[in-house]
Amino acid sequence: MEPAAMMTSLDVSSDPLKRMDRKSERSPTAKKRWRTEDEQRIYSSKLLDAIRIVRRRSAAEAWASPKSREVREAADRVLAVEARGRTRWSRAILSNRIRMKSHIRKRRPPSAAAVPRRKSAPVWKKTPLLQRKVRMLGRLVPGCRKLSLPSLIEETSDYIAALEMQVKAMTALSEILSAAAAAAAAVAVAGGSGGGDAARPAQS
Amino acid sequence: MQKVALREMLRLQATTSDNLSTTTTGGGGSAPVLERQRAQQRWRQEQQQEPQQSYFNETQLNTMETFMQNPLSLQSELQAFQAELENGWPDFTPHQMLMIPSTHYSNANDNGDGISRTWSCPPLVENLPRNQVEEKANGSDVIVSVRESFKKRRADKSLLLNNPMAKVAEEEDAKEKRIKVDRGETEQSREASVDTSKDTSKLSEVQKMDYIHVRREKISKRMKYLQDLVPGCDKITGKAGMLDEIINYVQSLQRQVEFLSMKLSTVNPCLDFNIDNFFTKEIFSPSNGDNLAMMGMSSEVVNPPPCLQFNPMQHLDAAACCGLDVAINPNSDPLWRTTSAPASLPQTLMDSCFHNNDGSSNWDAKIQGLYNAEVSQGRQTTFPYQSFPGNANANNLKTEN
Repeated sequence: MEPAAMMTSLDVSSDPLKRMDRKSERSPTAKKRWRTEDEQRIYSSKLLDAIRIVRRRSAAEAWASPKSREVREAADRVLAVEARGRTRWSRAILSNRIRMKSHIRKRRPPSAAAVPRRKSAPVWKKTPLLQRKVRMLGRLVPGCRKLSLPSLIEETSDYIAALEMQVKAMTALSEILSAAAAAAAAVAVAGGSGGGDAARPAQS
Repeated sequence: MQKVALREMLRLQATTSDNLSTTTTGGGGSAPVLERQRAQQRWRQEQQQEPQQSYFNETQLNTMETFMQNPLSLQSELQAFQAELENGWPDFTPHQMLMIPSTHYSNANDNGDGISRTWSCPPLVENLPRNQVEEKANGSDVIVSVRESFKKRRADKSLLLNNPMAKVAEEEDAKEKRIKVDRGETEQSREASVDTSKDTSKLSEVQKMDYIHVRREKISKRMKYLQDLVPGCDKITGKAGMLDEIINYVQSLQRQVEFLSMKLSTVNPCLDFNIDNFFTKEIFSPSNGDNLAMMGMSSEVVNPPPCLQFNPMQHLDAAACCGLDVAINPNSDPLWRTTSAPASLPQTLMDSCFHNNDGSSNWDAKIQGLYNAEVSQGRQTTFPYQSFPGNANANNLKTEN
């Protein structure tokens, strides 16, 4: 990602911020909070810490690289923390993590079996088409399965804004880390030889 | 339950009035009085079970008592009773209660028929005066009680009257979502018209319509906001299409997050914490030195002990540099040059982020030293950190050193 693109992306994010300011007069102020640069900065720094912790934990235990699932869960958790529990999906994410730690694998197979069973019920009319879509959206957004349409829409809008910020931050972070890794590797290669050169004049 | 009790009461009244009309008051009064009392007790018990409606029931009870004790002075009682029931009970029972005396006195002989007629006659409800409906100022209680009573009887009664009322109750209980979602706006208006034609609680209908309008506006407002949020939704109108787009977008975002998390988990065995923080701060806020200092401090805690000796000083220096927005001249730095090719991104980032160009060699040297330290630290950290064979970078670093 080019730095110019990065800066423009930041500029673009400030434009929606201006738009949000106008809109926030009407809509809840929470909607503009995912667009600020400060939020993104805070999120990426916390995400970095979380990834470090995940790595350390996985390295200590299994000596395997951390699974993507753990990283994603950490990222979601950091996102939920940044939401400060004001939204339903953030509270659901945080509570799910606690719940998942205690009941690890037992719950998933029954729930996975139950959901398709419900769908393939014989009473599957065309009329609740909108209803089905609402249910589907409710399943996508964590913790919003049985929510009425207006509040579901509100949760979805906040969730989409948060996800966009998450994607932006994670892309930036991955770029930086990969570049830094490459840089470090290259420097290590060069440093191996350069250090030797520096040592020789120092000794002499 | 109440209606059963009321029915009993009415039959008792009929019998008592029958007895009274045919016989003297004294003669036929004893047994009916007992029955009356028993019915009253039963009714009172049932009222206790439903405390919500106790207010109304007491008034009804009082009126009933007065009514039964003195059936001859019905006119005044009737008016009082009517007034009280108008205030309390939106049901068809008051109407039927009112009907009873008239039918009763008109048809002294076929009281049972009269009563049954009143009970089984739904259109009675229509005849309720408007003011009676409007006087339901105790709106929510009344509606709740109506709902509950109808819920209990939904299985029993198949009267037209009950069905729209039950529907009303159900809809209100479903938080009006099913109205919106299942039936659509046109059907809803049709239902509303049907309801208004047959319904007693017109006030609740009016309230419902207001709620629906308000909710619809809320929903449309939020959908418009979502339209701005989700790219490519300008052309699509209608809730179904919008919902489809929203679902697709959320799914794609979630997939992106998964992909990025996979990338993050695999890409970086060599976490140079300080550099990362360094870059992160630069990218997002070039002129925010305080935070960078804090970040540097926080990252120190994470660093392994051997590096802590020389880190703090240089971190603070770097922080000071960044705080002053002093430009780093990468060209003058041999280290930077060697890393220029693979590290084009961080270099250009630094270029773009640093505005001022003081370029004092002192700062450069310090930053150079910092970079050296970090790199060495990185090398040192990699060894204990990645003793697993699976990582090619680690192997390379090890072999290099």
